[in-house]
Amino acid sequence: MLKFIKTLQHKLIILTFLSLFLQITLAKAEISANRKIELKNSEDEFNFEEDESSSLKINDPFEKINRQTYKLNNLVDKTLLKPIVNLYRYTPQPIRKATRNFLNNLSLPLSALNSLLQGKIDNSLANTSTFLINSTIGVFGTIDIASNRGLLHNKEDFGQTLGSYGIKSGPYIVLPILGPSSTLNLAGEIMDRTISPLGFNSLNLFPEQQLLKNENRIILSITSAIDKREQLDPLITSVNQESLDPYATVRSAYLQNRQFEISK
Amino acid sequence: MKNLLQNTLIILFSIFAIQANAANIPQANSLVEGLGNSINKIISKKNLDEKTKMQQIVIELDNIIDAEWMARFALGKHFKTLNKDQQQSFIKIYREYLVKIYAPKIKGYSGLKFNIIQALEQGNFIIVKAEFFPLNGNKINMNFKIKQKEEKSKIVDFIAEGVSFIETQRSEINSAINNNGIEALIADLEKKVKI
Repeated sequence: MLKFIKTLQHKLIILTFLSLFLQITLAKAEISANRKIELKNSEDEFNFEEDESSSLKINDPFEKINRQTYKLNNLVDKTLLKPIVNLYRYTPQPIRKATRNFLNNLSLPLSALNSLLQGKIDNSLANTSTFLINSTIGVFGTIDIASNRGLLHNKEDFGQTLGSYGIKSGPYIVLPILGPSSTLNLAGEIMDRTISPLGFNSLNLFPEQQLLKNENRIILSITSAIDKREQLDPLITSVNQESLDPYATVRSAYLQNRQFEISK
Repeated sequence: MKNLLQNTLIILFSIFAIQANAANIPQANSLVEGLGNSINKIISKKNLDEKTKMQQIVIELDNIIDAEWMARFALGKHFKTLNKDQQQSFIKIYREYLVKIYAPKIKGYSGLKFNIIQALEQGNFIIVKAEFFPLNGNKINMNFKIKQKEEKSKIVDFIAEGVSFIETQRSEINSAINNNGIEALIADLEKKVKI
């Protein structure tokens, strides 16, 4: 099992760098591409061509495959994830909240690093301080004392870091189980997990401390997935009930939100 | 000389247009503030049951959004392909759909502490930037896109954490029409309004 994880880990790193190389090449090619065009007059507002009237460009060349994966993910969600989340909700609310705080806290060092890479020194310090305060006074991060006291921070990941360097988000993709992404964000996600001592830890940071055993990493990932699904439950329910085309809704909302996160 | 006169006139009219829009900023601000306050007021009425509260929120929302503009924007190029009657019936059904799906969302924001950060011009619109503070969780950035209509300010978009409601609707509706056609879309809207 460990050998398999290690081989997979190496393949993912190679894939990440290949993907990054591709992204950078694409970014260079698109450097003179059209920027967002503001609405100029009232008639333009209603022209449909997205380049002209919309701030969002949908780049979905794999739509057919993506829609199939979306359907599959929905099936997995209905038959597996949703029932698990329903069971998880029997856990007392304070325990669920403490779990969410604990998981959020673990992601802060990486967020601090990414803030630093983007030159957001204030946010990097806010992430670091929050991590230190919550890990100590906040009992291993289970209580979010820092935010309660008004110390606010923005989460930053490697996808946002690459985006802030001007690398385009690339085609929209729907990943099996994991859901909506883009080639840029997939590369970012793999980098985050590669660098993080709590992820694959490929850089072998803090080897003596043995921060986490691989078995515990798997438990952590599963807990995190359940927590995220619970967090997204109202949104998923509302999209499934109200949307006229749930796939297009999720795609549009995801791409807009990522664009916003990068520009923040 | 003729060109100079033309350019001067254009500049003068542009200045007047900018000033007119700037004058609407306080009106846009009070529209958003008023919406927040009146929703909170409805929710805090103890003598009303949940159904009546929701009905009042629907009326409130219906008064402050420009459903016609939103319907045209959401339908995009397809709007022009419809005849007058079809356009009117689309606007009517879309208005009902909008209010039905947005009222519960607005209700969800009620009671939350909120700050209006700033209002700024963006083309023909005024963007009012606000922050909402949920009891458990991080603050939510919420922008309101406002347009002047017959000397009244009307909301044409809600943008939460960078996700524009009307952009999402446009993407969704365009995709639905491309896959199943406009008749199926209207039938689907009618079905969703009735639920």
